[in-house]
Amino acid sequence: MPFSIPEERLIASAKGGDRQALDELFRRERPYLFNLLCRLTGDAARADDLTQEAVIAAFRKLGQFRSESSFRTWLSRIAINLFRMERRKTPKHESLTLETIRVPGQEDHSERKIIKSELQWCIRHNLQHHLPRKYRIVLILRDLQNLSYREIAGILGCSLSRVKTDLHRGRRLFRAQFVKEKCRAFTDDYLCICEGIADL
Amino acid sequence: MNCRRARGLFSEYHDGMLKADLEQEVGGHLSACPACRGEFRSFETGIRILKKLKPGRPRGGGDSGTAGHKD
Repeated sequence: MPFSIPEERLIASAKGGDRQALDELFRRERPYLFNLLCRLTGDAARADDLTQEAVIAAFRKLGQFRSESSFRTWLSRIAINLFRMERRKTPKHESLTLETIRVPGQEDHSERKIIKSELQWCIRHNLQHHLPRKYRIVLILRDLQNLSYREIAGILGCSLSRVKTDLHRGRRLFRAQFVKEKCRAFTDDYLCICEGIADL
Repeated sequence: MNCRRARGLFSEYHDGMLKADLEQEVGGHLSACPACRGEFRSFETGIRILKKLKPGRPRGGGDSGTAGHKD
């Protein structure tokens, strides 16, 4: 099915039982959902499972979609609700030390690649273990998914002022953790484990 | 505007979400207060670090991946 078919037409066809339109709709949005859930969970396998659950839930609820928001916003709301309801235990917390950072195939990488991998590990670690879930969600929606405050409020079903407050607190907490870990991006007095992480 | 007030508005200031007059007040405070300037620089560094997080890859790397999507 050509990519040029407008989303509204696909939605209308899908609601009318057009299986091809339905497949196309979810094919387009699935990568976005996966990215969002991967960032929220910090775990590709969990994100994969939740993406599948979100697609199934959206498929079942498609008749309820009223086009009051974009299809992506509606899907994101479903995905985030699933994430919030997920009762699975988060991975065990480990202190941030060089020994605990696992870089896959470390021996095959240049120093720079290792540093970059360490940075990715640090970001994920701080998001998953040092930020309350409500702040994690709003930070990811704003700073990684690039959604507007209004879109975020729509997805989370909260006020704009709630989004502003949580975003501010979440960003401060996230930064505070890097400062606490003596990341060199914030101070020249200490040597950060990611060696300044470069390109900031 | 005092430091406490200015620092409480960093997030919205960064996102350009403040009304023009308030934005000007924060900007004015930042230009006059080196401590808050340093704080704001550090605040923005935190956001820049977060933005460096790359998306993960789905199991098997199938077409549920990230190819073709910018977010």
